[in-house]
Amino acid sequence: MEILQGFFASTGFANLSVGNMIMMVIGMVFVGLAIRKDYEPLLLLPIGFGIIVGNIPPIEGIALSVYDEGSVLKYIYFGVLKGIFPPLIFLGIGAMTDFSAMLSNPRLVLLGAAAQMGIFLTFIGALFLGFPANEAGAIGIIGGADGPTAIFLSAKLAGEDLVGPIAIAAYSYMALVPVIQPPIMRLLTTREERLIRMKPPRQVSQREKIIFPIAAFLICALIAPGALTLVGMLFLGNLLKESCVTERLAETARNALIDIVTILLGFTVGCSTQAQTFLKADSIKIFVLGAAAFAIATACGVVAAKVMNLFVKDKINPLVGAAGVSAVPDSARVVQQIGQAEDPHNFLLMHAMAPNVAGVIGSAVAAGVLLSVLGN
Amino acid sequence: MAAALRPTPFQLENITNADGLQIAFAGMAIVFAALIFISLFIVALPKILIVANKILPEAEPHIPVRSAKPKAADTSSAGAEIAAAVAFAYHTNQEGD
Repeated sequence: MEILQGFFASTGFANLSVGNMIMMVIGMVFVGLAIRKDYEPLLLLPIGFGIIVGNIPPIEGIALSVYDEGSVLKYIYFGVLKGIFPPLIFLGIGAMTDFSAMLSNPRLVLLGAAAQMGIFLTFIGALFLGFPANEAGAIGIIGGADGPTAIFLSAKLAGEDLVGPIAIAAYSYMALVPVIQPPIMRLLTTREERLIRMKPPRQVSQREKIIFPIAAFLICALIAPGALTLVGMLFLGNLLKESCVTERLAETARNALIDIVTILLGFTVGCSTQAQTFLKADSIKIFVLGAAAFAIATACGVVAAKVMNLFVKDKINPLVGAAGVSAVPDSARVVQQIGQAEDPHNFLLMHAMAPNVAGVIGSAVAAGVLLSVLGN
Repeated sequence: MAAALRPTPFQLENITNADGLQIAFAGMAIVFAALIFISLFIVALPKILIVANKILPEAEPHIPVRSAKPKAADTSSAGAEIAAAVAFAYHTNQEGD
């Protein structure tokens, strides 16, 4: 009987807390959203399952969780904590990104910059709520709507405890782009503005596509050296793609490599959300700030497009500004959907891709700035 | 210990003490500067290419060199075509019966 009691004491049932159960339900919701609603399934499914795994109570004396010294999960989580995985994901993103839309309409790049205001306004908000400057910087980057960048910066700036909440918040809001953005876009635009048709983008030569990643890297890295790792990998990936001579490497970067890293990153980030470290007042604040960051970023992009329309002859459909948040390509798809809801023959996707990819560069530069200023 | 050093929530001094506004304005300025420079470069790129094309004309598009010897895949595809032709003839014959 004593043996049975001893065994029961070592099982998960004996040590399962209400917090663990709440987190497991959250994990199942994530899995459900991925499968039923198709919300960022590549991310939400591994994260959701990771949350379930991470909330099995630890057994004393056996290294199992991401926080236990010597556990297998700890070694995999090392790639998150040391900021190794995010640059590898950027390599893959670069290898699958086509900058043609941006190269054919450079004024739309500015919308990608405007949407980054969400990062810095949230940074101020986080300071106001009592977060130290380094943690506030990591929280602010959620407004960039870029999961890898958020993880990279939180790993570098914030403590181990905040990486999980920041990553979960960033990926949750990225998955909820089709829910969060449309009301803001409709609120800030008139029907006439949503009906604006933009000039078709020009043809971009292969030579332009090859020169661009090198030049853009030099510009970004020289202006914000802190962004070197992220923009370096992003533009290397793009050069692999556009050079046409390293198709095998580009293929690996945009398929096998990014898939492997996404699985490892998503799963271990999920595993890091143990109720004991995750269910805190700070996490709730991070989620509230993250939602605000996302909304502000969307609004800033739309308003910036409206302001630009005051000065330009060829009008910009302000919906396109919402794609300045760098949730590629979901926010561009949302722009297309909202635009087509008003005019089924208006194709905004290509136009929206320009601020969308500019937003990726912008959020990486913003992360570099925050890392340079707050990282010391 | 670390918790004791955390600023008190909901205080405007938290922003000023951490130079929050300066960091935010400088950060935004840098992000805009980087993307404006990129934008200007893209605008100038076609002109740069005109000059570059005079100095270094555009090379022929990269075409992978094909070996004269037919590949195994070619043979198998020919085999598949023959098999399809035989199948078609058989099918037509069966229908005729």
